[in-house]
Amino acid sequence: MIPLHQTDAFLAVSLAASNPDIGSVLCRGPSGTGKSELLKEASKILNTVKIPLGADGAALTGSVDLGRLLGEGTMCATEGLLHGDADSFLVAEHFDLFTDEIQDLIMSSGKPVLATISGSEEIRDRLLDRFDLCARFEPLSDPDKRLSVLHAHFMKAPGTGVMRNFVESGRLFRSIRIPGWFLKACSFTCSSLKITGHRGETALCRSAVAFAAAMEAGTAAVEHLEAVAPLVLGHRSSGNSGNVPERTEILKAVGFACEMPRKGEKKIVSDHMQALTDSILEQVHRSILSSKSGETVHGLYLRKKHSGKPGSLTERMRSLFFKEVRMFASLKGGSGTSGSNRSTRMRTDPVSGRPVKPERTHNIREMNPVLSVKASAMDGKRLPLIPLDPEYWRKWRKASKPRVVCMLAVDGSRSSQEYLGDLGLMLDGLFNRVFDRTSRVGLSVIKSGRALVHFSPVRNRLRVFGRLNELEPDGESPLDQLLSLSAAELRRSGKTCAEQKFIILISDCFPEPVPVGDIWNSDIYHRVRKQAANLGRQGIPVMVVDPMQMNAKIAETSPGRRLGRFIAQSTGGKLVSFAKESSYDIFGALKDSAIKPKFISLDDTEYSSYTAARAQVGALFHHMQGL
Amino acid sequence: MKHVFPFSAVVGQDEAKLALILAAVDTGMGGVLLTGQKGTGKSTLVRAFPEILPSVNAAACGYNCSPENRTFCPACSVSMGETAPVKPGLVNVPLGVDEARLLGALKLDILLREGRVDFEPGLLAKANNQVLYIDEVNLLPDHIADNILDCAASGINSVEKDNVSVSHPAEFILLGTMNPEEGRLRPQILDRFALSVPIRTIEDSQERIDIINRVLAFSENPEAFHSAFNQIDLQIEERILKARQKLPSTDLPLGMLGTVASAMAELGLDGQRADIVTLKAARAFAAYTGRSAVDLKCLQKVALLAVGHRTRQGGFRNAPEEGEIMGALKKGYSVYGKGSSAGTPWSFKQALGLPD
Repeated sequence: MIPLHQTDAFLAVSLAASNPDIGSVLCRGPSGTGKSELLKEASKILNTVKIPLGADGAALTGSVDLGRLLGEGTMCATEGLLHGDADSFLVAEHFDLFTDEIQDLIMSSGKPVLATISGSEEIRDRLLDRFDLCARFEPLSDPDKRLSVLHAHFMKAPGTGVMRNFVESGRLFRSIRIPGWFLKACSFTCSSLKITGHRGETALCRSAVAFAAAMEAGTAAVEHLEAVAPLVLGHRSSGNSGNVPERTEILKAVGFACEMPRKGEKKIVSDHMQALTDSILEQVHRSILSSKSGETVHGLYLRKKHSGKPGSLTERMRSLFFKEVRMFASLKGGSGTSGSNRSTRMRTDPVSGRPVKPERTHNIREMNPVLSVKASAMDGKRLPLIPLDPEYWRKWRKASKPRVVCMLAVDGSRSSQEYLGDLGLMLDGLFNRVFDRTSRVGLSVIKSGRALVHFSPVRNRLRVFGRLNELEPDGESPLDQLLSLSAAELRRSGKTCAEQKFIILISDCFPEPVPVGDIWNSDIYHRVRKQAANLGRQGIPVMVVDPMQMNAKIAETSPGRRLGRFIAQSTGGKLVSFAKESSYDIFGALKDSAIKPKFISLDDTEYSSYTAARAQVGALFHHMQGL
Repeated sequence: MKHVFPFSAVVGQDEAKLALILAAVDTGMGGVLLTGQKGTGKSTLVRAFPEILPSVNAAACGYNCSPENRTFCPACSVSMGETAPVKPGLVNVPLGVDEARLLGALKLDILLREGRVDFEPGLLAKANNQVLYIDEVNLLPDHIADNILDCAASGINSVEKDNVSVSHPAEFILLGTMNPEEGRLRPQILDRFALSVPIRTIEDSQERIDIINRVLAFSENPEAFHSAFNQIDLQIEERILKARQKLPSTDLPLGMLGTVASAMAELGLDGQRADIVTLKAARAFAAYTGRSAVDLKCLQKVALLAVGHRTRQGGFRNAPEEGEIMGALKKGYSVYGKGSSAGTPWSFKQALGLPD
């Protein structure tokens, strides 16, 4: 049965089935949303080879035929699963559960792969990029939609008809006419989103054409690109930030890329500018209507009415504003286009004559969009190429001012693994249950006796990386390294002006070497203590979470426990431990013993900070007009 | 013959018994998880469970292939031999089991002696049409648990390793027990169990006395004890057999589908496994209790078993409690109970905003 209401997934799999050149599809989503069902349906239409869990490398690639070797004494090879029919698809469910080696073999087989990943599991970035389409299964929250699924499941399972029809028409993709602007639009979509590599472009083009064929359209058009772009690009990291673009961003980029070759850059930019200016003016109008005279508006000291002057900027707003202007000025480099370039409507490099990637789109991400609009207007320059909307502005707010920056430092010991479970969930939990959403959390771990930074709060907001059980249990616990690395990461995030920065150290195996002696004064302890003192001087508190079940006696006698306490005390942090296993509630514990009670709960401030920001912009604009 | 403690002789634990019976009626429903502290009778129930299962016609092919299976083992898919009724047994997955023993592996002695690649069936093959029992399922290594659950979901075990390429049916009733004090189960694994029952220590003193009496009587004379209760076990078995035959003709009214859909949406359960399991369990309950169609009562009876263990929002929200579930069902029933709507129809064209 085709899982109803999972349009993305249906499209992704049907497109790949229509044109195997499109490549591999990754289906992800919570368990019980119909991932396996969809693949089951697909295998009714396609030749598929299922890769079972537990398959070994030899089974995939083929190996010496043992039976013939020992029976007849001849060396022959068995045929591996990867060498089946030329036009067969590989099906790998629970792709995340395969070992790295098997995952690599599957993805480099050159055959299209249909894979599923459940829940919050992740796969390596490099492999993720190899998937040409990635579809998310969304849990259905609408009872009527759920009902229709149940109805189909228990009463009238719709056959493979829908998918079969789709695929049969889609297979005629060669007959689709491709207009001149189409390829440009594909490449421009990817480049404006700063997608790394070129896999995105070809996949985008192929799947849009296949979709056009499935719709029996005759000519590939904008709506076809729009329908497939989120599937093709939604999982590809863009630029240096490593973030994946969001659906709205992708659709905007597609819309823009399709308009541009046809309408011309200038017209579009001026349209957008007009629209944006209108919206800002409206905001200003509203905020002025709603604010009382003489009131201080965020970011702006308003003078009294009678003084006749519009007031002055606060120091912070002033610096922010000029930073924007400077950034914009540094970008305007190649934008003074010559006449010939205008006529081709794509900017080209004056020396090589090649099209130039629109560099600004990336940098604009870090700018305050409204300020830069204003700045560009004042400067008589063009707008940045990405259309901006309140959603964008909100994202900027989030990205630019984290309340909390914290490093999660974890040792790879076996007991920590059991205790923590899935590290991705842990980090997600820190976000959603302890800090507010503007926080950034990084992760450093001890793996194979070395401390590594897995993930830095500076570079990304949150992505989920491997599972904890990838860590090796026999780490040597170089705690001092772990602490110093984590602190270095925090220092790198110095510019983010967070209200709080600290390290959460989760470890229940402070090094307690077996040879008994004066462990406390041993070399290894000495290094850790020195590092802790260092952190104390730098003002970076360490919250020590000790999942060991502890009674008063152990706490007194164990040097490891004493070290944990020492680290917490000397850095000004706290020690969190649990008396019983049943009371393990790491999030609760962190929340309760926050260093300063500044953590913000899940629900508040998001909205109010947004409205405050809007008011701020309004006032600023007003002020600027006065200047 | 050594007797096991009879199913019907277990005092109390009606919920657990109900869950096991439902799993026996609809064997395609999925596994049953019994959680509870030590000494609450989990294993006793599990060991007694095969006693109430009706016999299955199975071939003597080493894989227990039955004509009712969806797929057959390599030999049986060519031609299935004589089948004879076999009483299902309990196949135990010990904690230290390795992948080779579980999935099956290359038969080394045949390889070396006869120079021929042959497959040594593992526990999953043995468990076909039987009961697969995992004690302490929370302590099982992840990859073993993943293998078992994958197999339980698809009903097929395919092995691709060491020159062996075999796939055979593995349709079993999965039973797991665990003591939550010893660690939690990953939400993904938890979600794969269709029903779960928390087993609590019985507080009622009369019942506790009954337990002591029965345990003592059983250890004194197992034979007599067994024959005293066997009659009831046989009755249950017969009822299960009847219910199995009735199951396909038991009606699932649209109103009940709507009630479940809206209740589960209200509870915020991610996937739709909960919806489907609840309905299947309710249908099994209706068939077992002789109803011709599922009604609200059936849903209320099974909902906690089907939903009470499912965490929400990817594991961040706790499983719903009984009151919450019953409230949601009632609310759903008041809106959808009449069964006037079949839900929002879906077409991908409409979803994409294209003309249909």
